Amino acid sequence: MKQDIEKATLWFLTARGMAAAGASEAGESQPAAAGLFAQAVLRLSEDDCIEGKSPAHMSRLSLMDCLSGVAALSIDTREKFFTGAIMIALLDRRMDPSEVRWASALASAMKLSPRQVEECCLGARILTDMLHPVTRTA
Amino acid sequence: MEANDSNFGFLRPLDHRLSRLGSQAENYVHSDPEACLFKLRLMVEMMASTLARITLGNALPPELGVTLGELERTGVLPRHEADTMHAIRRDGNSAVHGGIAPASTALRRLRDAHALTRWYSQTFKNSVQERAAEFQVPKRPEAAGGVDPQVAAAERLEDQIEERRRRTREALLLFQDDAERNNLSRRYRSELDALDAVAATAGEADIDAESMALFMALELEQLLEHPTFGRASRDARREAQSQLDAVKRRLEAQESAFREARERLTADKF
Repeated sequence: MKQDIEKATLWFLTARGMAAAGASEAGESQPAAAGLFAQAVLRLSEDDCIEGKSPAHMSRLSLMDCLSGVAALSIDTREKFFTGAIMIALLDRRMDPSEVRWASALASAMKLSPRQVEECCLGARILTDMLHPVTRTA
Repeated sequence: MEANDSNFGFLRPLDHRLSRLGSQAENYVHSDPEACLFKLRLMVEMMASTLARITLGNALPPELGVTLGELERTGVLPRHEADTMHAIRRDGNSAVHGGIAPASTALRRLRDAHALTRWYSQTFKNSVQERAAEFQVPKRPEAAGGVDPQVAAAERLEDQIEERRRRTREALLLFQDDAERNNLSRRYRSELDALDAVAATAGEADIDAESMALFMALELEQLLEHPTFGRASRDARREAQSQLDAVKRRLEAQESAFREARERLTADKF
């Protein structure tokens, strides 16, 4: 249980980093995407998500902590995290330099190979298509 | 309830019809919840058609649901306000068609409508003179035999459902509210800037930003030409390419800024 809360904390930190890197207001294009991903793909419970992203768990953590945290995850979880992060970046159908930088920092910290990165990006694109967010034109 | 005592009294100088509907909805909330929801639905319809006339021109969609969808799609209605309007529309429709409408539902929607009209008046009517007060629950008329046990049970159930909804929402959202979003985003952005500087100075391990941008651009192209998004392949490719070029330009600018700084430092030292 405690492990799942830590995983949730790490995931929401990863996702928030990517949302903050986007040019539009963080998380605006699909604010529930990170939570849906946490529950559907990472198999975290609602309670774990709530507890994991509570200020008590997250307020002291920086994105650098996030990079060291994700490095310690299993390879399967690392790939899922990376897929979810790219999904969040692609939700608004835009690619911002800071998003790219955060993605490359994550991939490097996770020790993913170019092949793995490519596969995760493909998975992220499929998930983005499934979520089909409304684009902001005004 | 007098118009001046009404939660919606602040709307009178801006739109007396909205104010009157709100006040009527308040009067009905305990005694006739269906009528309350019907009035609230009318309020939503009125606000939506005003917004649509201002922003979408005269081609108003015939159905309220479509109008709201269009307003949300074009970014006029933020998601939260759109959700609230849809909820009032749905409950209003259900009440009109004989659905069960407990007073607690009507009260919740009344509260939602109050928040909605505050947003509406501030955003679209640019109201600075009239400040809306916090919502006050309209007084419940005393029943002869106290509160009906069935009504009380329905209200308890409603409260449980509401709590369940709140937790689900809390679990899903990336940030709990705007304040948290703004504060944390600012902090994360400054960390990302620092990360940028470190990467430009010390170089990147394994997956560099340029390769990452290429991978993302390939997927972007696919996304943009997907039938649900609907761009021709050539346009999608151009758009993805232009975004990739922009990222590369930014990375090159960082590199050259770093090189210049290093050269200056070297020149100063030697």
